[in-house]
Amino acid sequence: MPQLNAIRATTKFEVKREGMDKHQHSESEGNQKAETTFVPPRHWIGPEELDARYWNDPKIQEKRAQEFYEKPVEWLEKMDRLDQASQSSQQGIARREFLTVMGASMAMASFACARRPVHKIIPYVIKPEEVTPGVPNWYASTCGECSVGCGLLVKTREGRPIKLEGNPEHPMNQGALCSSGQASLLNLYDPERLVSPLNRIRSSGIRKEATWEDVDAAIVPQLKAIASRKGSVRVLSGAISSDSTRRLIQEFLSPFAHSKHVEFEPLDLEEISDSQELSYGAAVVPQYRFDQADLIVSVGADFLETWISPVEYSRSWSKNRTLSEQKASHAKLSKLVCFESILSVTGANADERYPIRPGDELKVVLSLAYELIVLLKRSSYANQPSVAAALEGYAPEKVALELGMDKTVLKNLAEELWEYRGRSLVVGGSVHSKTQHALALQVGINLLNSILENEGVTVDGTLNIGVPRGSFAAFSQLLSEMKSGSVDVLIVYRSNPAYALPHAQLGFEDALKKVPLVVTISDREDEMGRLSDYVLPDHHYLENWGDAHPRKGLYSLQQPTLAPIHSTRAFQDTLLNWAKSAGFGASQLLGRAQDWHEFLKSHWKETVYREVHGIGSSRSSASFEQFWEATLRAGVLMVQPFRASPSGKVSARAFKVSSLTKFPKYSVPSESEADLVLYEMSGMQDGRSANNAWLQELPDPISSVTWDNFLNVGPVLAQRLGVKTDDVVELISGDLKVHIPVYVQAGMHPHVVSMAVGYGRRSVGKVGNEAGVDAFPFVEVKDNRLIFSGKPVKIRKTGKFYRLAATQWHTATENRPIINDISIAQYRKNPATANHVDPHLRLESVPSLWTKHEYKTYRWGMAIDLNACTGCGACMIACQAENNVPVVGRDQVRVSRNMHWIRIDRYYSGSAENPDVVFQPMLCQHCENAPCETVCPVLATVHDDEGLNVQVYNRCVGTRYCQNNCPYKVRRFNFFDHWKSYEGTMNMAWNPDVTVRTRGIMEKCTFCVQRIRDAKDKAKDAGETVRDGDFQVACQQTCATQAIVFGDVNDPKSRVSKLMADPRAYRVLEVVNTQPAISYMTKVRNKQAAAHSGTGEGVHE
Amino acid sequence: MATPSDSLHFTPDVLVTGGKAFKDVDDDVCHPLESFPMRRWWVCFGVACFALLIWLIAVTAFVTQGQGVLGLNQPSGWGTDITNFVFWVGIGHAGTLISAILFLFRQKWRTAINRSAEAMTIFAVITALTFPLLHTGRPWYAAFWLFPYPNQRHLWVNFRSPLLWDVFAVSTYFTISLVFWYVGLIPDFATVRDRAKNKIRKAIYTLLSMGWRGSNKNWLHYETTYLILAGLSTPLVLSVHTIVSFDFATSVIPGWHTTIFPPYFVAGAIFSGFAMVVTLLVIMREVFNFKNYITLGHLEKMNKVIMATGMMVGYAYACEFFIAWYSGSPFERFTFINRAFGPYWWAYWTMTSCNVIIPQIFWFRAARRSIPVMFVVSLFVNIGMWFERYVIVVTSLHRDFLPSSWKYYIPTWYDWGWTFGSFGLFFALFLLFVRFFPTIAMSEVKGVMAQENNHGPSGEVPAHG
Repeated sequence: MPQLNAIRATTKFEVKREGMDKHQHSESEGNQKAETTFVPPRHWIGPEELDARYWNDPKIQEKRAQEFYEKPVEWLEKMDRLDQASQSSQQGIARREFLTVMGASMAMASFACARRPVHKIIPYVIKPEEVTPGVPNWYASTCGECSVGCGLLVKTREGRPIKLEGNPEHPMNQGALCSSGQASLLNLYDPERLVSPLNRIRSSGIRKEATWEDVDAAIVPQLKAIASRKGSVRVLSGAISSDSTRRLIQEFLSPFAHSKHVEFEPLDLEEISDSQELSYGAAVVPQYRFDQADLIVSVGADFLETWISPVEYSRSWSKNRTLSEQKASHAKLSKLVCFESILSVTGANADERYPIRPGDELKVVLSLAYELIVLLKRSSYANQPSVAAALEGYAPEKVALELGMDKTVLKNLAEELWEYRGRSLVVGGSVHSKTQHALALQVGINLLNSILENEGVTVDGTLNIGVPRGSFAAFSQLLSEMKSGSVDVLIVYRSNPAYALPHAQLGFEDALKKVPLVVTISDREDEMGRLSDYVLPDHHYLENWGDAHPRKGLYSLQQPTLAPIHSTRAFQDTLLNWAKSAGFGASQLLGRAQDWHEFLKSHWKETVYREVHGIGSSRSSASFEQFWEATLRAGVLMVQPFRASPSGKVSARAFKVSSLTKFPKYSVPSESEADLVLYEMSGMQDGRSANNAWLQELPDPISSVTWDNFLNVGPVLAQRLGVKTDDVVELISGDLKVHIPVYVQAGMHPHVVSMAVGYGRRSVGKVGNEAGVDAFPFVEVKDNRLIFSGKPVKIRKTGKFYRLAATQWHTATENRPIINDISIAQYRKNPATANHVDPHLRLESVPSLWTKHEYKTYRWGMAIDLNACTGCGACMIACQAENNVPVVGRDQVRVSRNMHWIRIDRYYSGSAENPDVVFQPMLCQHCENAPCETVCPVLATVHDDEGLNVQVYNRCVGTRYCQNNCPYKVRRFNFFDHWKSYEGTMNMAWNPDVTVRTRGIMEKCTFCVQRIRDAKDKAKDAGETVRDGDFQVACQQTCATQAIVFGDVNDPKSRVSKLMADPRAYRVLEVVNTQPAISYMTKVRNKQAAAHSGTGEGVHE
Repeated sequence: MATPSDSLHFTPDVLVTGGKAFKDVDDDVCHPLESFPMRRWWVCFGVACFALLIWLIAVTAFVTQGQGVLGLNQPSGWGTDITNFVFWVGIGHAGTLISAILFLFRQKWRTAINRSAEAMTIFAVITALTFPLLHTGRPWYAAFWLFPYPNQRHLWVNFRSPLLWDVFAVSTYFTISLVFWYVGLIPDFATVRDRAKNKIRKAIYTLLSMGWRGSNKNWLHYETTYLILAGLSTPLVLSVHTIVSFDFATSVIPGWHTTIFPPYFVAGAIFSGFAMVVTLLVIMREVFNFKNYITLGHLEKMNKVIMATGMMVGYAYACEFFIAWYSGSPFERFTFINRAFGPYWWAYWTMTSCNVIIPQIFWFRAARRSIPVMFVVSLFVNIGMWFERYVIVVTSLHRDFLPSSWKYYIPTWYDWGWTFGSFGLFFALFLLFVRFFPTIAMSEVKGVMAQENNHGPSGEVPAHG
């Protein structure tokens, strides 16, 4: 016990007392020490402790008397003492020490268990001046998805592009962008891009990854050898809109004795420039001015979706379709008349549309000319007997009879065209009207435009597409050279003739075997790559420099917006490297320029800069730098005005009557079960972006089918064949047989079936491989032209079944107050005419028990003009990119779980043979009385003080009650973790401003709340409020026809307020009294007959 | 064995046949508890557990992978989940109705069946509760975010949402039903306790009987409590399904937005609940030889209720059509025409035939008193009532306002597994109940028996009850 007491006495407190009393610490079992016999401590902190004076200092004494004064020395002393105690069989440790040690060990133990803190930093050693985390940088560039060359603004965040928008300064697209352009961002991050060069052994198919050094070392000597032995080199490329690239190719090829650059695009409309050459003497693609035309006749030209420059044409067409700024009683609308063999987006937007068989396009055009010239003796051509002779046999009554139209249709149209001469426009010839008479069709169209004095007004040959384009003739010449074994090297760049051509028919693979060296420069190991010796990965256009020359006098620049993600090299740099290594082109720009960027700059200095500043002007290089910087910043440069004059008149070119000899004699087509039409689907083009999941899941505007192509069969033919949607049929044409599911498409001619090209790719990646059926084998080659349409086919039922992944199954409005479409006559009489007069469908004033929401600052709202919306679907992709909307895949679309926040509903009215179509963008209506808000048990969806219906993802538990209660069915539930389908580099495409949603929660359109937030922040920084037009939401921004207007409804001067006050404005399902924040503007059709009121028989699910 | 005193009895029927003495009641009722489980029990329990396993597999699949494995789609955010929820909550109505409302109305015939009916209520509500929880996208949050508890994040629930009303309605109903059931069980637990020969058994039932001694004071408190609880339960019988019907009635969707729903749902719930009670009792009286307690007289009364409520439901069906026409609303008209003649015509006509046409056979006394007939009819009613909920949930959603979103809803195997499996959950619980709890309220049965028979052969007075 005494020992125990002694130990008890050695708690810190006691010891301190002792220390205070005795000023030292080395006392043993209770004996007192005199102050004189100072024993220095065994352990000391500072040497002063060894001095007795230190311990005698009253200050020190006081300090050390503090309870929590740290005294490691004392502690060690104590431990010594305890050691001694333990030697005398006494175990134990002081309570406080125990607690101290325990506490420390607990702390350490728990530290060891805690996850090591993860520090996430933005890995800039030296932060680039222009990059501020969280603040986007915008770069002006040029869209490289197709050869049109629309201007771009690339939004980058922390050095990576996350969103593409049209460049508003660009005179062609004026800020808008199509769905393909929007989606081309995803191609940049495609995880199946080729990441390094590939070396293939063609005979065995063995492939191995190579380095650029290996590739260069292998190819350069071969090139040298070929140059020295006067061998031949061919560069095969897709259409190139860049002058400098074309020059670089030319310079690269110049050392070779036999060399050629073959430019070829399978879906290009070469007949247009060919016919222009025949009719007017110069092979150009003229500028079509839809905004100057009051009557547009499209003979198979899908100019709102795929034809030449659809974004530009959509915008200019829509200019004459807006009613909001006109007085209703004198309102004018342009009129669009369409003759076409498929139901295209253009046809769906036409005021009058006539389904025809492929090949009938020419008959329509020539009968119109016949009526005008031969029968009515109109225009100066009426006196020329050669013209009348060329039109022999194309009398409109006969043609109308054969085409199954009312015989007055063509005659009246001719009259109307004459009436509108100089203010009309005849266009024709998309992929689906590329029959064997495609060239004659274009000549006929040229004739019509000249007769109607449209030449020089709505058709402008001076502002043409200045770039010479290749042709299939050039390709077939290359093919025969290859077959004869006279091509030593074939370099293929952005062209895929092993897929996008009837390659088996052409014997392309066999021809390729005779080429000793085949190099494909592509973004992936595509079908062409699989037949090559080398597959060299090219930069994505967002990683590369470039330029475009889309119109005469219009240039735009393309600049890299991020460092190349993979070990890729620009095509241009590859050629440049090879030429330099081989010692070619020393005298040329190619030899002088260090790299492609320098080449481009030098080229611009020599050409565009001179054009702008006059030839021979002695400007310093510094001013070129300024010019370059300014152009780069603007992205676009107009050397001459894009539109000649407000009236738009330029000198008309004289029509060469000699070109009329091209017309075939009138003949009635042979009877066949059906004629096959191949067409270009928006987005998919020739299949180049088939691995783009955004595009694959973008519903076809007409059929709403995703992920596959299909055989469009009209309702009459379907009945005759006994097939229904989803039945798989065998399509037979000669030896060709293919199995394809049927889609019963209203508005198809009863003798026509159609299928889209661009599907059924074999080597593009796991998204696009085997999606749909390859239609290219059905393309025919005749007279050095590709013929896409008019092939007679047989259709056999197989009894099999394939579920197409459509997003809309019911196509009639069931006479509900969803769509309001009226005729122009009704509009002039009363602009507020409504289809729905049933009192049960109209909401009269409703008394409310509740106080309304108060909006003290802003109140966001939207107006959507159904007259302008063409249904193209660009807004869907823009929204998808902006708001991180995931892709769900074919199977999920089949069960109606697509996630698009904005969708395009399409309704038919009238007869199924030739229905009226209306498109309606449908998105969250941000209702004032939102049915979703009241039913959410956890307040995950609430109304905010600016009129938004906001969804709180974190709070949502996913009862889906809000979805059920939404009359517009715009809420989207995450049935799975769809974001997980974004693999690897694809994760870089997410917009960091928008939450990526997990499974089990509801999402929907937010009105781009992040953009609202951003605009408000900017306004706040400037000490202002957000003004109308300060920002645009994503769908509005990309809309080519400006059908969507967003803004502050509280501001009476805002565009959206004015539109909402327009008599045309109505709200969908107003009778439900949800009071949406979105108003739709009545669709007004320019047709004499009263509009259908939506009671048509739809195709039922 | 009717005796002259029967004629003096409050209820003219003979409620217990077979000349049973009080001790016989104890012996008969406690027999299943005290004997080793019969083979038949094991077979039933095995089947139930198999179904439960399927339920577990289905639930595990969609809790781990996502709701996408079910057949739900864009217009139809609800499908078998809410169908099953409403179905099971409906089943749960009969028990409390029998025990509370019939108690207050002094319907003494309830005594033989109230225990098992109440047990059915408890288990049906437990089964029902799994559906709204597991149908959510994130049940791990839904399990507590739906309750208004104070929290640092200042998050609160939405008292405007019928789903929240459901939370309170169903949980209140469950709590009261459970307490009511348990209070009723106490005297019987005491009987079992007193009969127990095994130590552990005695300990468990001692605990369960909460010190019941059968004293006058005990009985006084017991009767008072029971009456109060019956009074509390009575409005709940009406309120729960009324509130469940609000899930639909307060929405804007045609076919859901209907004022007739509350009475219609309550009638339907009683209808389906009684059918389920008949199904179970017919089996139970056979298996446990309770024919003297659950007599044909009892079952006949149940069948009368089934027929009456079936006709109420039939009236509601007709009334909905009339109102849809009378309203003039094209949406309403379309919804009801679509219900009967649209893609789901088969579900609608299954429902109508099972719920309205088939129970009409109970107009015949022989049918009302025929075990095979009533068993088959009760099964059909159960099927019909399941389809009624399916029709309401699915046909209203699959074609609502915008035709562009219309889409046929097809349940997947997970839906069916979940649905089938829920019967496993219910029956597994019910079988455990019949194994461990007295399935007939012994004390109450004794109260309605002829008094001269209340002494056993030895003449001793039973200690309890």
